[in-house]
Amino acid sequence: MIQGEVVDDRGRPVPDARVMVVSGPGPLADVAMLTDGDGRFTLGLDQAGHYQLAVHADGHESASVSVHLSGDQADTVRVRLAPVLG
Amino acid sequence: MPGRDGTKLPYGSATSTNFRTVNGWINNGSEEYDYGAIILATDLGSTTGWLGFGVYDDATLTSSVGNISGYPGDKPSGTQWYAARTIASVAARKVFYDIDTAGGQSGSAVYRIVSGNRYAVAVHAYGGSVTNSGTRIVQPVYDNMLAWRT
Repeated sequence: MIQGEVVDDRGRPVPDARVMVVSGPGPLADVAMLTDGDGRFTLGLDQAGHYQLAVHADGHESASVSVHLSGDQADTVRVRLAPVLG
Repeated sequence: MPGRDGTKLPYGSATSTNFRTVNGWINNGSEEYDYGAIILATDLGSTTGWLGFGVYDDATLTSSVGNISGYPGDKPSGTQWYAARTIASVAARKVFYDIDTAGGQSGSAVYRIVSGNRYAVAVHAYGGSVTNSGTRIVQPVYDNMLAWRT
């Protein structure tokens, strides 16, 4: 399982950000998780290995983050999104 | 939220806690059985219309253009995007294609267009670096979808 939170450049939670797995071991369900009101998300992944996550939110630049999931350990990530300028 | 276009909801929205799926998915998580249904309490389909679905043989599928319209998570929130390409290959319970998709589009129909009518042949489910794939509508899937509809 991968848990995390998405925040903006001031550290405030970003709700309704779309978090998706773009690469990883095994077949990847083409789903996107929405962050909750506190910017938190959970991906129910159970296969160990390296995963690449992409995060998108309106009004923010997209971000990419690598996560290594080992065994039954839940990994936690924090993703910071920069605002779209201009 | 059928037909959602950003903040516009041309047909309103509906919620449900009534779902259907099959033992092959519940018990084994097999991607060959990765499909289900959300049963609505309202008769929303009489306003929006319905998408057809059908069972097709291998030769028909691999000579068909597959079409997918859905809501990819890498595009502005709630916007519907469409792509199409010839179906690449099939297996007994899977359809493979290089139609462009992204996370959030699972559950979209993969459909053929025949004489202007649209017929789902698979349920989009997986993205990959090599190919994308969906759960093929074979006879038992077709039968379940019919049974769930009533």
